Formats: sequence, structure tokens, C-alpha cells
Amino acid sequence: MNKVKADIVVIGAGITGCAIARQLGKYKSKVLVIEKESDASCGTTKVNSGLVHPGYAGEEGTLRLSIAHKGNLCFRENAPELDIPLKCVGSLLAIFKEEQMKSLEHYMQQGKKYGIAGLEIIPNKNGSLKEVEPNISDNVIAALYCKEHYMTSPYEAATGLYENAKMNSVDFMFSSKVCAINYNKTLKSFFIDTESFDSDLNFRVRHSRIIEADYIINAAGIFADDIAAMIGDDSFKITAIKGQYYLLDNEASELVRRPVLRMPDEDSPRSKGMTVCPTLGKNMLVGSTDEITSKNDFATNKDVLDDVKEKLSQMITGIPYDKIITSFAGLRAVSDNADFIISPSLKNNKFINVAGIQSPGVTCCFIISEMVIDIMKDLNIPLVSDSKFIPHRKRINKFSENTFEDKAKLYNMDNKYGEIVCRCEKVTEAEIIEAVKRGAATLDGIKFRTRAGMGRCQGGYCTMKVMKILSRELGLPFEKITKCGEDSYIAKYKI
Amino acid sequence: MKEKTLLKNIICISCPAGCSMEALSDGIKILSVSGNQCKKGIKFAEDEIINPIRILTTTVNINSGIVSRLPVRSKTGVPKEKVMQMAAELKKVKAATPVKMGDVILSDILASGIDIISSMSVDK
Amino acid sequence: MEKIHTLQNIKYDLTIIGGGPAGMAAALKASESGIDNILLIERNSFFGGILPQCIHGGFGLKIFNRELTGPEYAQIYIDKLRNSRIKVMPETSALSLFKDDDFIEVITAGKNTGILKIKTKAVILALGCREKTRGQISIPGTRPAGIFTAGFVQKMVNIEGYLPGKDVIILGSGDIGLIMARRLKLEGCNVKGVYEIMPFSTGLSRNISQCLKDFEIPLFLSHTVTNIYGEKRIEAVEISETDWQAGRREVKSGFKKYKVKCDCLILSVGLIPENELSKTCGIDIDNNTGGPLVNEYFQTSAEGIFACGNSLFVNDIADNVTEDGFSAAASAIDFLNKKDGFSISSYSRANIVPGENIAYCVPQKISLLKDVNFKIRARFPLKNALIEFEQINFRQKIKYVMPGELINIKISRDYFKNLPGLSSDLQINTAGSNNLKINNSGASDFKIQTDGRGAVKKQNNTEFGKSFSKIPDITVRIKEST
Repeated sequence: MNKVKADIVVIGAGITGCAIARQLGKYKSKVLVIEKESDASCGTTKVNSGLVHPGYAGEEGTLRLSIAHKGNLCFRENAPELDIPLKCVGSLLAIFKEEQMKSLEHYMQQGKKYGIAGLEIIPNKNGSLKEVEPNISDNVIAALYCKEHYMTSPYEAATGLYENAKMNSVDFMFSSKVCAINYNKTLKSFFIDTESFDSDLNFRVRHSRIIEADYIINAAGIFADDIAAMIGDDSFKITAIKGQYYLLDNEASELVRRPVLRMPDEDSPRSKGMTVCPTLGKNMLVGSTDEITSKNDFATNKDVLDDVKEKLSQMITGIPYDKIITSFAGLRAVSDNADFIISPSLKNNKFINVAGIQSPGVTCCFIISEMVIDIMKDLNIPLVSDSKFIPHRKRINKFSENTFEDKAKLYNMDNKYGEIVCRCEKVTEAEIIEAVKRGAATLDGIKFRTRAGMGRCQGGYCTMKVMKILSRELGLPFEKITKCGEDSYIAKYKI
Repeated sequence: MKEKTLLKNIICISCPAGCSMEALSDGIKILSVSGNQCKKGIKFAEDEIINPIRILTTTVNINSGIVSRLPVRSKTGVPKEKVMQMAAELKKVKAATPVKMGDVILSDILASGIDIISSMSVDK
Repeated sequence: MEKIHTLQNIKYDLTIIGGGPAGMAAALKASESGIDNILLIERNSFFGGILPQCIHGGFGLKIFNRELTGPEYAQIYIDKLRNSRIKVMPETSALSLFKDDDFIEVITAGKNTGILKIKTKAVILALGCREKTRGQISIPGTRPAGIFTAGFVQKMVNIEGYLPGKDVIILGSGDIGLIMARRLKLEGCNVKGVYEIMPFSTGLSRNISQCLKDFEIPLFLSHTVTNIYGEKRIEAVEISETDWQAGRREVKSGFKKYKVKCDCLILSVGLIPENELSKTCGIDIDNNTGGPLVNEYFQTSAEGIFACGNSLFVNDIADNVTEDGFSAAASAIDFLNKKDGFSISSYSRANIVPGENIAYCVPQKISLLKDVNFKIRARFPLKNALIEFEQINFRQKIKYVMPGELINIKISRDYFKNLPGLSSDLQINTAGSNNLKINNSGASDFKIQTDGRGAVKKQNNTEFGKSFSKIPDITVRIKEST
């Protein structure tokens, strides 16, 4: 049996786990992130609007609300050094009934309390709202405009955090699902068992290696309660709440100038309501919903998505549903009290829970990671600053974002910048090879790092080309290349 | 007196028109055909009753640096019931480059008298 | 190897974008007609477009009077291309088009050709088409691996030599779905069935016969996939019966839905003309075809830019695509030689508007200068039908109308004399000359406008349609013959 020893183990490589990992990279401790999927940000993180919220919405007295605006500021401060794309877009929160006006006023007050600038209620009268947002429907009676609403790409953010963590000697162990944790009182350390899917045998197999860690940070998303239960901590329960979205073609990008949010119908302790939301990739997100479901239910449902169409058509006129590229669903991790749980476990204070991270999870990823460090320092967990910490990380240079002259320069540097692999998003072979170097080993890994496969043909043209590159760069047979690990093969059998 | 049978719904596959035909047969030969728009239909109906044939198209392995598979076809129609067998037989073949469109890849497949030829030219 | 940077002095008279059957035909025709300086750009390393993966027969019946396979048909033109003086750039993608008053600029990227700015006098767009995806038709359920479009599988099997699965379900009875049903069966797969949402098949009847009947693959009409199961890899689909009602597809309530196990779902649910490049230049697109609006010269709304092949509208038969390629080239040649009829003012003197039971009709604009070959696709099947072009009193009987087969209608120029409003605006010279005497002054002011940054100003369709306001739109429809 082989043993792996780490000072600190982080369970989960979503945006929360990656942010914590990156933060821990600033210290000399040996850090290991264990993730059950084949890559970072494969869970809730990638099914996300990517909005960095201003922090005016939320329930009084909750941790979520109290750190939201600080989270926003912290994200804006830290994103540039990691080359995480971030754009100030502003937002409108639309209401339809006079009774909802008090909610807008409440948010306005709440926003002012937390120091959010640029909040303004705009009534839909005399064209004042239409001037700001031309396609807003007449059903909307007023909207709360907020200047401090930002937009990022959630998986690019997680990737940035993950890559920089790696640069700073944080190790990542993928395709490893934690299945048991035992605390040894004598050695004062945890022993973690993991398992993974064996595609030859076609079932889950426990690994023979065991991981020993002095401290564990539980950032396991919808499975955080299951992980906590492994050390006997059943103090919280996570409910999976599904959100479903449509993605519209970038031809729809002129529809709205900024995210337009729909005030939820009744008080929802859960995430923000529906939105018509542009993305940095120029496709348009339309959704989402909230249904309580099981932790493995990622299916989209026709009636739910029809409801999305109906409700949002009443908010924005002319949503071009004939330009749908795809639809998808993600699961929010919602705790019993619908709040963030960021604290050491009462069962064992060397086990820190970072659970129930629903919206504003992306917004607060940096501040949460700082809070975790504070908790660790309060517990006298030894954290020695590493002077060799590298704070900067550059994202992959995207051919399509360059001017003609710069494209030519890229080509002269590496002629693989001339080979267009994804014709919809204009992604070149050079970028794909770079993505493999940075950790991509599946089609989804390439997709989320380069955008290849995200366009309107959804990989119809580029998939086999990307597979050939993966096969060559990883030294794997073509038929072994997967979409997202395990048995998600594409060209399953060689003729 | 020979029994006459009327065969319906013969879809001619000679061209994209796909005429839906009916043919009267005495069990040995075609007596009359209707629904066809050209002579090919009559020939097709006749073949279809007595000896249905199909053009077989598939790919074979090839020893090439630029393509992975070589598309091939039967030069003329092969007996319909032999199609799956012939496709299986062609799995044993590995073509060599250079090959020109029309080159025989496997002659007289399964002693049918029909050659399998290349649909494409490959230099190397 | 010499590094290529920006080359401002790359100039071609004619640039053809796309080296499939349409592009090759256009290039060869232009070359034969004496145009010296022709460039053909193709993103793949091979020419032929979709044909090399269409290893089945049915090609060449019209042009060569023989039944050829796709690769054979392509090889004929590839060989001609090799023996020509056409400059070819394989493994090169066109990134954008920009039209100025004097020239058209194409920016390309290629591993061996570099990043280039090419100036050309005329362009023929032969970009082909792409497939409708699962996401676009919103099939509910999970998003596992194992869901592919039929053309994608065709490429995987025929070009790469791999199978996508063993237990296959096919959604869509269009020709590509039917062809792949046979192909996969031949390669040893268990093709469980072809499911078609409509109560009729959209494929050629000969393909139902030789692809499904021959191999005992069941066809389920009025059925569709309503759910997908499987986490990382597809495990099953849910099939529901549909209830076709005057254009609205509804899943029949009360009818049992059932699950079918599979490890592969293949979608043959529609083709969409490829026009991303056309859009970078502001060319007007027809929402019915998904391709550019053109007149009978294959001229788009941008002067000097022509379109043909599947990029213009989805064709059924490659031979017709080749002929359209020839025609588009002939138009481009006339344009380069500055023949009359090519100023944008004559682009559109009348609009064709699709009416009842018309999915689309091409060309959508007519110049009134010559006979027109219309290509029409119906929405629904109809027996004993009548196709009618209302305002010009043209009617033609058609025995069988099938959505899977394009209808070709040739209308002589004489019919356009029936157009009301014409005599006061135009006089057609009946001596047979191609010139139209134009009474209406100001028509020649109709110039393509750029917005200062070089991009063609996005014009409304009506802008191009109302050049002669007294000429009404011509409605085409298919109805029952009385």
C-alpha cells in the first residue's frame, strides 16, 4: 500500500476549493486537493452565470449577505493578477407588481448599508427605463439599477486559481472520490481513502493508496455533508437545488446591454431568480430555475425550461428562442439554513467545513479563502509564508482576441496559431496544446480552457480534431479519449 | 396455367426518383411493370424478383500516411443476401499505396465474379 | 520556411471559399472561361467537402449518367483541379470578409499559409452546411457522451475508422440518418431503430428501401426522443409518440412513453447552411434557408460576392450543386468583365415571398433580366399539387410533392411581363437583349454602403426589395390542384 502525506488536504476543486488551494499556495505547507471528477470546476462551478454580484440582495443576519459586497471588492482586487477576465456590466433587477417595489427599496437600503455605490431605482415611465435597456418589456414597472455588478467566466476563474495554485506547488489529485476518512488520535492525522471508476472493469474501485493529512478543508460542494459525515459530523445537510438554463447564440448578444434579473415571485432563501444574462463569451444565458432534487439529477426538463421561456419573455421582448444553442442544468449546494457554513467542525477542529456555498459563491471565492486562512490562524494551525510565492498567472493567449497584426505575430512565433481547430470560436491548435500543458486531458478540459466546442455547432467540426491533438499530446489511443473522464468515450471502437 | 402474382411497393433504387412500382410476375419472370418513369425501373424490377442486387460500399484498412481508411465499392451490383458477408470479408483487407480510383482492391469477392474497386486515389 | 506576415499585395481576381463540389465546380468553370488569377481556399487538407465521407452511391447520375460514390464524384473534380492553374490553399480557413468600394478583403489563417490579407475583386462563397445539434432542438435530459449528429458519425466511421457505439438509436429519417443506419449495420452495430417525429419520412424512398428494409431496421413514424438518460455516457432514451396537428408537434398525451437502452444516439435532424463568414460582411440572410438572399445570378446583397452550394440552401443532389457552381462562376465572370446587369440596382427588382406550404424558394430576388430556375422545398407532402406564382399567373401541376425532394421550376422571362406596375417602370426589350430600359431615374444611385469602418452597412431586406416600389412581391405557394 502506498501512502501520500500532505499537511493540508482540500476536498473539492470547484471555485471554492481552487480559491482556498491558491490561498494556501502562499504558505510553505504541503497542500493536496482531492477531486472526484477528472478536472477542476466540473461541478456547480461550470454551470453558473459568472456574475460577480454587488451584494445588496440577501437575508439580514446571514453570513452570505454580510460578506457579499466585500467579496465583490475582493474579487475585483485579486482577479487581475490571475488574469481572470472581469468586466463591469451593471445590472437591472426588474419588478412587475407594485407590491414588489418595497423589495427594491429594501435592497437599495441594504446596498447603501454595505457601501454599494451607484444604486438607482428607475421606473418604466416616459421611456426612462427603455432608454437604458431598449428591449425591456412593458410588463416591467420598474428596475433597480446597480453599477457595481461585474461579470466573469466562472470556469476561467477556477482555472486561473487552479493553475496558480499548481505554480505554487499545490498538488491536485483528480478522478479520486473520497470514500472514507479516519482520524488517528495518536498520530493526530486523518487517513483518507479514495476510489475511482475503472473503465476496463466498468465499476468503482477503491485505490490502494491512502492519503494522510493533518488538516482537511471540506469544500466538496453538494457532497459536503456526505464528507462531513465521514468524520461523524452530521450538523448540517446539503440539499441539491437544480437550476436550468438556455444558452443562446452570440447573434442574440444585442438583446440586452447588461444582465437583467427578474425579481423572484416570493421570498426565496435560495439563489437569485431568473435572468437574461450576456456572457463574456458573447453567448446569452437565459434562466435559471430552482427545483429541489437529488444529488445526481443533472437532467433538463421540458416543462421547467418552458416556464423559463414564458417568465423571461414577459421581462424582455423578442428573446430569439430560435437561436438556442443548448440547455443545461447545474446543482446548487444549499445548506439547511440556506447560509454559508465556514467553520471548523465541532467534531474535530482540524476539519474545516466550507459548505453551502451557493450564490454568491463565485463572487466570494477570494474572501472565503481569506476567511479560511483566518480560521486556520485562529486555531494556531502552523502557516509559514512562502517568500517564493508567485502571485501572477497569465491565461492562454486567445488567437481570436488579437488584432490582425498580433495574430500574424503569434503565427510567426508558432505556426500552430495558424491552424484553426474550432471554427465557431476560432480556436487554434497552439491554444489547445497549451491547454493540455496546463492540465486538460479530456474534451471538456479543452472546452473550458479554450472555448473549443462552445460555439453554435457544439463541437461538430472540432471534436475529432481536438481528440487527435489530445491523443498525440497525451500519448493515448484515439478511442480512449473521453468527454469528461470515466466512460465518456467518443470513438469507442476501432474498426 | 402458371400462377400470376402482383408484387407491390417495389421502390426502384436506380436513381433518386425512387419510383414506387408494381410488377406482375409468374414466379419465373416479370410479365409487366407499372409506376416506373424510365427503362431502368423495368430492369430493376426484374432483378429484384429474380436476383436482387445491391452496390456494396464500405471502407477498408490502408497502409497510408495521409488517410486512415480507403472507401471502396463493388464495381457492379452484388447479390443482396451476400452483402453482410462481403462486408465482413473486406475487414481482412489492407490496401497498399499508391492507389488510383478504380484500382481493384479485391477481385472476385467470395467467388461472385465481382471486383471490389477503390473509390478514391491516394498517393502515399 | 519563410515566415509570412501581412501581405497586402496578394491579389486575386476571383477567390472561392470552400473546396467542396460547389467550390471546385466554380473554380474550374472560371478557369476554363479564361480567368487567370483564381484562388481556392479550403479548410481541410483534402478537397471534396462532404463527399469523401459519403462513400455510398447515388452521385453523378445526372452529369455523368453513371452511379458513382461520393469519393469517386469528388475525385473527378479533384483530378481536374490538379491539372488546372487554379491556386489552391488547403488547410486554410477564411476568418473574415470585408467589402470596400473597390475590392473585397479576405483574411485567412493556415498552418502552412500563414495569416494573410487577400484582396480580391469577386468572391464565391461555397461554405457548405452544418448539422442541427441536440442542443438546438432542446431534447431534455442529461448531457452524457454518446450523442452525435449523423454526419459526425459518418466522418468518424468512414474517414477515421471508429464506431461511436454498438447499440444505436437514430433520430430523424432524413437521408443522412438512413444512410448511417445501413452503414453502422454493415459494420456490426445493433441499429435498434430509426425514429421520425413527422408522420412521413423526409428521406428519399429509395433510401428507406435499401437502407432500412434491406436490413430489417424498423422505422417509427410520429415518434421522437423526449428524454436522455446516463451520467457520463448515454444509457437509454425515452421515446414518445407525437401528434402532428397543423404544424404543431405535440407529444400524444395518454400514450405510453417507453425507454430504449442504447449506448449511442445519432441525430439526423436538419442541416443549416454555413454563413458565419457571410455575416462578418453584413450580407443579408434569408431566415427561411439560413443562407444569403440571392438573385438568379447567385449574387448576394454584396456586389461581387456570390454564393452557391449548400451554403446557399440545402441541396439534395450533388450534381445540382456542381451545376450551380458552374452558374455562379459564370455570373462572377460576367461581373469581372463588367457585363450589364451586375450593378446592385438590378440585384432585386422583385421579391419572391414564400406562401402556403413553402419552406423556401431560391432565388429570393429576381432581376427580371432572364429566365429563372427556381429551387423550391415544400413543408408537407401533397399529392396532385399545384405550384403557383401568384402575381405572374404561373401555375404548374406536380404529381407528388415531398419535402425531401427539391422542386425545380423554370419560369421564362416572358412571365414577368405580367407583373402589374411593370409597364410604367420598366420596358422589357422583347428583341432578346439582356438590357432593361429603365424609366425610373435614381435607381442607379443604389450603391452598397459601408459604415466608415469598412463593414457593409446592415441593410433591411426591404431596402433591397423596394428598388422599384410599384412592383409587388411575388408569392409562391403549393396547394391542392382542383
